[in-house]
Amino acid sequence: MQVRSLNFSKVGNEPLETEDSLSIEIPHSRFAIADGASDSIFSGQWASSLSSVFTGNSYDLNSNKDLDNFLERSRDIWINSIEWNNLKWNVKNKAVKGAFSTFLGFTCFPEENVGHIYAVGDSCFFIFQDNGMMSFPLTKPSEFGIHPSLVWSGYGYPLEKKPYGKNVKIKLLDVEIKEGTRVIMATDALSKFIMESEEPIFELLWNHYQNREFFDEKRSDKSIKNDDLAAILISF
Amino acid sequence: MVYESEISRRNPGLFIFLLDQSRSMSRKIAGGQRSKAQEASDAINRQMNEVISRCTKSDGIRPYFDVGVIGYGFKSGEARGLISNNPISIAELENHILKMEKRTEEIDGETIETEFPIWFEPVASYDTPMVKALTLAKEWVEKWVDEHKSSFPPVVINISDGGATDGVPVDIAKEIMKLQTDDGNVLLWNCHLSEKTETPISFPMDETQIPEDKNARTMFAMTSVVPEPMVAIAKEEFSNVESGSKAYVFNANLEELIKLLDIGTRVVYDRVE
Repeated sequence: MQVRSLNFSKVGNEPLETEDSLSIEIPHSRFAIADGASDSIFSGQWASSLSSVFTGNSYDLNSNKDLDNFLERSRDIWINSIEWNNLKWNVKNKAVKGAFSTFLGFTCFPEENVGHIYAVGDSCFFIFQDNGMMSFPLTKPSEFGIHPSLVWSGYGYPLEKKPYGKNVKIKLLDVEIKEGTRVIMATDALSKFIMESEEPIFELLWNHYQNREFFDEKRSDKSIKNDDLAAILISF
Repeated sequence: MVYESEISRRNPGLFIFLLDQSRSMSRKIAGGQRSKAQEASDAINRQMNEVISRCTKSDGIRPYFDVGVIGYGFKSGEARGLISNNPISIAELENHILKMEKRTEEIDGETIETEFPIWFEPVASYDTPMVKALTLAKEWVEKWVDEHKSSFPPVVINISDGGATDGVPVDIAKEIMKLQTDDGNVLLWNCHLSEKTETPISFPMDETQIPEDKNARTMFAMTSVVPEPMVAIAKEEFSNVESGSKAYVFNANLEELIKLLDIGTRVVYDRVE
């Protein structure tokens, strides 16, 4: 298995300002990508908590118990990553409402030829097999709207101890993984570009994964929306 | 002329609020418990707080917008910048806070205390020098569009409860609406506040939809048509908005005022990259 990844902030933003996050755990074949919603605050940290907690643990998010554990552990990390007592008035007023993020997790078991995908929102999973491409959970460019489903962190200070309805609707898909299978996990702007592209897209991204200029040009000529871009590319 | 420019730190947007501070603003607003001056000041303070909130990230306030507020009628025949003498960046706005108030907010059944910034206080004093206010707004906008050719066009929102006492404001309003960036003409929105409980008339398409009232006709003539890309967003609050509607509310009560301000700023927020 070979893996490559990219994570580039919007054109005009500093690299550290990206709110997209990705996490890769090759020994256990766990991969996750999350896109923090720019409307909320500390959403980059929330996206990072979700992706790192997923890859750092063995979760079957089809099980309610695992899903609860996953969200609670992610929330603990998010809460502890913020110095709530030193926030300015405007940050505090906004942070109480919590953060939001999409989530896309992929765990695969190559020896069993199977992979499990868990998705909330418009970050997409693409699988290339037998000369075809399939995407999940969105399947066509017109499905990218401005209000995707999101995972909520729950409230911030001073309501951080308040129980909250998690109400996460995770979409699940199992796929067959075999030698030669190639996978892309990508946040929304890049996912839309992948669906619209007429070029051999896996090769294109595989060859340019370190080339920020390539992606900046695509965003400048509007082939890709000017958004944070993150992707994980896997070749089995 | 498409109103599609994305708003970013390199290409900020501009909001200018014009606020009538004439004596009649001391009367209670329809649908509210307080005076038109108090409610209008509070609504603008709240809207600026909202703009700051939208631009707030963990590392601070990102300068996606410039903001200016012009008051008119606080002194006979006068208009001036209430926060600053020209529009300033949203990131600088916190340096101009007059005072912080403790307010409460209901979140999911819990009452929490929040800090609410006040940039200016309500005033209801003299006459209605709207022409002077629009002339100052034109100066601000003219300078700003020169420096921001590729930005989303400025949005100017005028809140008043009566007619101008210093001439006919239509000509200067039309001059403002002629100003433009590469992305479109300046948008001038108008809100006529009322103390009466008559049904407000919002986003009319032509003069036949507004009463035979000189001030209403004048305000209608000095209002921009809602650009096509904004119609859907405006429709979320004002269901009657259609292609060709003008961004004008006549006989606005408190609820309509808040909705208009919210839509006036939200149609632009949605362009933030």
